[in-house]
Amino acid sequence: MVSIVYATIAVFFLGSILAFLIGHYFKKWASFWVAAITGLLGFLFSCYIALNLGEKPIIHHFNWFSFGHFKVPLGIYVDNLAIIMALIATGIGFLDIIFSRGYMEEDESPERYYFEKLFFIGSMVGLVFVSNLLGLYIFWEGVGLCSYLLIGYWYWKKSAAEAALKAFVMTRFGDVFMLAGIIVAWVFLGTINFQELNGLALAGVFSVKLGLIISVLLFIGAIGKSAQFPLFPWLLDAMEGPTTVSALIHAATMVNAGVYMVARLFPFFDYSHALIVVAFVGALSAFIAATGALAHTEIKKILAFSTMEHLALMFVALGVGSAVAGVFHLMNHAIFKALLFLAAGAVIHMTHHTKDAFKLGGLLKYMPQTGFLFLVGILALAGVPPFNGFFSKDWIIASVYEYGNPVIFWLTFIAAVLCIAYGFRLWFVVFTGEPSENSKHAKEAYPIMLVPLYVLAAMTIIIPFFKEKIVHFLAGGEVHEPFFLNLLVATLTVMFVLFGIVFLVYYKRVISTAKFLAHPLGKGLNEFLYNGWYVDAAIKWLCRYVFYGSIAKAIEWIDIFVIDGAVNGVAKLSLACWDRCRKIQTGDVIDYLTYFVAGVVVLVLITIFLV
Amino acid sequence: MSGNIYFWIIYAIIIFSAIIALEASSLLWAAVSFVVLLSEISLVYFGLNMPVLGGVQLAIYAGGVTILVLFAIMMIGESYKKPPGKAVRAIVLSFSLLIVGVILSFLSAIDTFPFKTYSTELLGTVFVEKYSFFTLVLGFIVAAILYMANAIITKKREAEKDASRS
Amino acid sequence: MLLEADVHAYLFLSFSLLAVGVYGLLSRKSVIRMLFAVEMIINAANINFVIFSAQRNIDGEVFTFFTIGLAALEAAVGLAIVIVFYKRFGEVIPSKIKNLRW
Repeated sequence: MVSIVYATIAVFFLGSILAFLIGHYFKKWASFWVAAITGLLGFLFSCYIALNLGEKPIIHHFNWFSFGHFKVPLGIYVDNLAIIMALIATGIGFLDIIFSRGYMEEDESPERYYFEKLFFIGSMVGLVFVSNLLGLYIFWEGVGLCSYLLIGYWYWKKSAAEAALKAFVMTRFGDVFMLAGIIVAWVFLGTINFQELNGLALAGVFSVKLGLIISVLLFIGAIGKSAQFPLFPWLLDAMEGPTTVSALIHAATMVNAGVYMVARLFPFFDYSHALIVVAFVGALSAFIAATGALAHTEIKKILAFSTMEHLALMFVALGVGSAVAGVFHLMNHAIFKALLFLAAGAVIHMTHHTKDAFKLGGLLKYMPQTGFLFLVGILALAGVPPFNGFFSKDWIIASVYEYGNPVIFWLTFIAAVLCIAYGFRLWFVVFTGEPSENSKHAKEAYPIMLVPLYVLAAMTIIIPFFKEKIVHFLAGGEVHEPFFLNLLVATLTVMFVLFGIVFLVYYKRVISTAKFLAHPLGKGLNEFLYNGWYVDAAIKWLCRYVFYGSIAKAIEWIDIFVIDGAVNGVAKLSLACWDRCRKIQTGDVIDYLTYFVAGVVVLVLITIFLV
Repeated sequence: MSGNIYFWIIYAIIIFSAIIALEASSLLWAAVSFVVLLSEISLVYFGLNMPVLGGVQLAIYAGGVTILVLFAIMMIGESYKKPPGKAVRAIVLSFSLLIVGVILSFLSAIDTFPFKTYSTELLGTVFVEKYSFFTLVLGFIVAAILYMANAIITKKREAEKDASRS
Repeated sequence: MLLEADVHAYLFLSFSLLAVGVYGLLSRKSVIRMLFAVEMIINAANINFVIFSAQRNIDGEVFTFFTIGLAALEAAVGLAIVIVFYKRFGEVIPSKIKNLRW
């Protein structure tokens, strides 16, 4: 069983290299077949592990290297949480690879794409299977690297290259804090194994302040990776990459790594009283994201803000104490967000790379199936009853209500009900109304692109039937789900009202937003929300004036004048000495004799008086 | 540092002749005072009851070396220009050497006044028994001196012949 | 023994002769004066040998024999050098020797 786990991780890395070599030296699209087979194999392995996972998790440790008494351990720890995430990663990854055969048809070197994609899936699977913080960090950086490579896939575009760099640097900034947290944990607690850390937390052997420090440091890394406030602007710029990349990495897999880490260390965070921090950050990010999505016009940017909002909802769920709700929502979100991104990819590809929603319209006539599938995704996103989004989102809202903090509750509630508003705004603008020039040239998506969409849409409908089983599997036992009837009714009512407003504005076109936007208050509000509450601008200002302008320039001054000055000063000093001492060698032998005799005198004096 | 009056006279003569040997403007007079210097030093040896050594000093130094120097002076001529600059450093150094030497001499505490007298037989015995090897070398050295003097003289004559020819 | 003097007086004589010799060596008169000065220094050392020999054992006197002989030889060689020097430069000023520069 242990070997199957290692094989699952290894098959992706081997497949990536194989796909690249075969695609580079044989036919290009042979790499697709290798990638598809690898993806399918990985998914089947994960299913096998899931079916055969008994009560006990699969554990295996080994010593990576050690010097003296200092040992660096690595290993795997596969339990229900890990296998669920692996299933998500491999399953959605496989569907994404199938879809990308249609989406990347114009690409010149698909072997590079499949190499990076498979490497990414392998790193993600490794991330969830590994048993301690060090392995997590290694694979964390692995997925970060693949994210950088894939965002900047079309590297000749300046915007793409800059976006890739921004993503990498911003997540790296968070990772530095995470590394600090790992080191603090290793030094002060002596272990970085997840189970041992949780065990220490449950036993309560260390101070709450130390736990809080470690938890906050680790959580800053999660903030970077999962695009929460304040490290979220990279997620918007990451939409420069191909849409399949956005679907897999920035919706379904990599951004979930932060949630996974907090869920893994849930007892640790609980003991350290750090969960309240998690909940607040989550609530604030959700509010920023939901309001920001209302102001944007590009399809993918709206979906990116939506991703950020749902991740924030997951963090809120973890923060108020119901980890099962968070992970369940993670699973549902991966499915419907991947569906939405892939459908958006189909739209963008078929309309010859039109990214702005307001440049399209009336697309339902030309792409009926895609439009229908997109609608399914939007309904799941908004949390409309028979789809899977409703169940997990409602659970989260009920848990927050039960927790009781009013600030968190209102921020989360408003963010949750705004989903239906921006979701349907997007759908109405793209698919209904007068067709624009770009829409008229569109054709229906290829079958190879439609099949994964149907599979994902089917899953959004089927999963609610298996909700009990899935929750039981996740929690490893019975779990309490809070249920407040009045809250449910209130939520659904507000959502219906918002749907009505959006229906009137964007479908019936009865009320127009032009007057609102012309008014300076409206315009200012729109600008504020559009720029992500100016967090991006603040970060840029901070980097330019504080980090670069002050600190970096000061250090540069020290480097040039103090350090180099010292080195050059030594050289100048020796040159000056040489210049003086050179004059002793006059060439006149009598002078040399003089020095000789003087030296003898001095030596004799030293010998008499000092020795 | 007590001494007889005769000792101080000899001391004065030695020092004066040394200074004159160095400072005299005419090379001939410098050579003459050089001879005087060497002879006075041999007088010192005589005064310490070492007649053999005194004789050797007279023979080799005042005899041989002076003749050599005279030959060299004859070849070079009396040209002597005033040297440029002052010799302050030299005076300072030599004075400091003197001071150091006096300090050294007082620090190495020697105070036995009576000087021993060595007989010539003892000298010869020590020569033969302990320093026989070096004695032989000494003989060779003497021979070498004579040869060297001859070589220089011949060289000088050849140089004169060359000069007169060309 | 007409000369009666302390050891210190003899040593004073030796060192003062040394001082005069060093002065002659370092002051830039002609090369022949430098030769005179070297001879003076050697003689000063000889006096030192002799005075200590008069106090202790005879080996100092014996050594002085050798020193005198060797000094004479060295004087001969030095004079040959002086003659060559004169032939090369035309005059006997020691400032002409300047080849040891840098």
